[in-house]
Amino acid sequence: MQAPDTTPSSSAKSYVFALAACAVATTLALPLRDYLNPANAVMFYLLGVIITAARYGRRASIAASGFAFLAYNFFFTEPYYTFYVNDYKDVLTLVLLLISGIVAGAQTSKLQAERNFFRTKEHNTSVLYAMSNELTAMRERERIVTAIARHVEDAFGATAIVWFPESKIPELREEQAARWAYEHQQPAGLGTPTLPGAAGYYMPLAGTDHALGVLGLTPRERHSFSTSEHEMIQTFANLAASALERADIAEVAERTKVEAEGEKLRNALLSAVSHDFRTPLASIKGVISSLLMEDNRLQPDDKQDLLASAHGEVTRLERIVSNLLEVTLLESGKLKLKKDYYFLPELVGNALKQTEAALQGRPVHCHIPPDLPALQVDGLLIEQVLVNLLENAAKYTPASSPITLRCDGYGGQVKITIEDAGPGIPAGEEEKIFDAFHTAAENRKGSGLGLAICRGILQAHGGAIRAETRPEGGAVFTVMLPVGAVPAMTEAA
Amino acid sequence: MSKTHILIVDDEPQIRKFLRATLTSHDYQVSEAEKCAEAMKLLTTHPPDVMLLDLGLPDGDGLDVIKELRGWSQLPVIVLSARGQEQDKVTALELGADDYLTKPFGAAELLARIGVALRHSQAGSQGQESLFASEGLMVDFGKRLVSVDGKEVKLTPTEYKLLCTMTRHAGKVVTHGQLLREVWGKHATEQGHYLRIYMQHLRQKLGDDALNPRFLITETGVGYRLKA
Repeated sequence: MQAPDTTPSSSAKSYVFALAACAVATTLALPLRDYLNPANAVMFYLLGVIITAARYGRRASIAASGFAFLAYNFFFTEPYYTFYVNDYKDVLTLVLLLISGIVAGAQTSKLQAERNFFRTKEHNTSVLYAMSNELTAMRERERIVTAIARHVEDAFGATAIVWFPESKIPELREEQAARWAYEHQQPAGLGTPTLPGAAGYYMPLAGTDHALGVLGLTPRERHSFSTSEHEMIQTFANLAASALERADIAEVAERTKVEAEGEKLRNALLSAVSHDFRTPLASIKGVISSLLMEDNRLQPDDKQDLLASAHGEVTRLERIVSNLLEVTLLESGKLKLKKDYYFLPELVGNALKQTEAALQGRPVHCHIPPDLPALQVDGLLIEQVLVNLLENAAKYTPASSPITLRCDGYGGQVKITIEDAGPGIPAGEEEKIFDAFHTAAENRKGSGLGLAICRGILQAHGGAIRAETRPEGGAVFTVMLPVGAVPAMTEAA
Repeated sequence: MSKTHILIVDDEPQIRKFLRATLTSHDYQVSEAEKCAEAMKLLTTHPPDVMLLDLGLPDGDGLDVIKELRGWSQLPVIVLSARGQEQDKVTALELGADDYLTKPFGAAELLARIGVALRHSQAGSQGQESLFASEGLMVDFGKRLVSVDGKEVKLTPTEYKLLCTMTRHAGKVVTHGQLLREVWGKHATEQGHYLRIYMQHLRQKLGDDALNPRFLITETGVGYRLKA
């Protein structure tokens, strides 16, 4: 949909073409002048007129008819090479040439214009179709705005922007025009009665009940848009408005959903905090108060014992606090992975060290192939996953029952399984145990955060975790973790 | 001989109280500061033998204290920071801190780290030793000989250089960046992956199991530590 050719250079070109067409007709017909019937020579000129009409439209075809009239008069009517005409029949031929040239030219250019119209229309439809197709799939406002601007720029050969009340255009006049269009819900700027001096044309984007923004088009070379282009811009604006409105609605829905989930989480958090914090706090307070009593008659051994149990409770509180921090980070999506290269045994080794106390002597059998490649992961978080899984196994299994940890490489992924010899996962709970604050009701042993954290961390790594009861008894947790971008080792060690 | 003097810089009175009680009962002399400015003043008027430094102080960043101090003094600095602030630990170490303790920590860990830091500052003033021996690992720098439990271990030049660097900082954490600079030169800081591979090879040759390390400990997110 290009602007009509009205610039001086292109109209000059069309007249030059008209002249050239007649010159070619003359060159072709002149050598045959003595053998041809005058009507045949006329045909050469008519052909030139029609070609000119087809390429450059009505005005050029009239000019071509004029040139043809003069050329025929000059070269083909006796006396040759003058504009005199001896024979009245030649006068008739000349007049007929002029008239038929004009008529044929007009018809041809009309046909051409129609063809152009339909072609433009077809092009517009396909551009609109492409834009609406692309916009339908989009939900994020910023991407929608970029897509609209790109499509409009393609279609109109103009710089396009989507203006919102909170955005700012550096040029004051453009800013005023956009704001006026937004506030009055009418087009403003270039080619309109309001602020016509602006470089851009501003079309409001109307939503169902309120203005959404403004679509601004600034032609690369200053010219007003034609009526059909205005209609087209309106269609684009309607499409853009409905896409933006859809994005707004989706955003509101998403926010409501997040808020509802946040509410659910807060409630669960409150009940967990009240239970999990009070128990250790009560025991620590008890220990300290009895030690503080001036006349306490505790034996040194009992004293040591009480202090050790308070120390254990503090460690438990410490874990709850860091779990809470981590789950909050994970839920808020603010967790940033600090990826680096690690060999799995390093992380497993550190996790075993951290869980030494919690495992209370339960043996952990590790099977890790020595050729397992390095992983690119957030080491601290993967350590955390292993710690939580080991602690979970310790929590739900009888004293001194064994735990088996296996690692395997699977084309771009590593699989880590942790098997225990406990009662297994209650049927139907295999998914739910990964929800925050979900703990088996009759078997309340933790805050129900550990496994939720595992799942969050693995999802952030593009991995996954699942839990099952093994056919031979006991639970098995399976972790799948992408290896990440590990460069090949090219240098010999 | 006068008591070893430790400067505690932390804005939490409870933490200072715990540190003071633990340290004085182990025969250290203690002074305290709760702000950067106060710490800088004490560092110049009563230079301590070791400084325990919290990074988040009310009037500024503890990292700035390290930066300024390192302009004129090499006294050992142990940073106190929380889990999850690994980047701060790395920055502190690269600015010249000697070690760090992750809050909350126990008394035993605190005393052990102070001991290592003091040993290093004394060894540093006596010059390079010719032998390193700990936990069955022995490195004879003069003969360029490495052995584990009396059995000789053959290392490539890079592995040897890596091990020597670790022994120079034995007991302390060495960041990945420090290792890369000291072993591969100052332009090699982008080769993080190679470092892990060499460390893996070194461990294998020393017969060190990463699952339960005897010599080389991975400090996840920060670097490596050679047991001293």
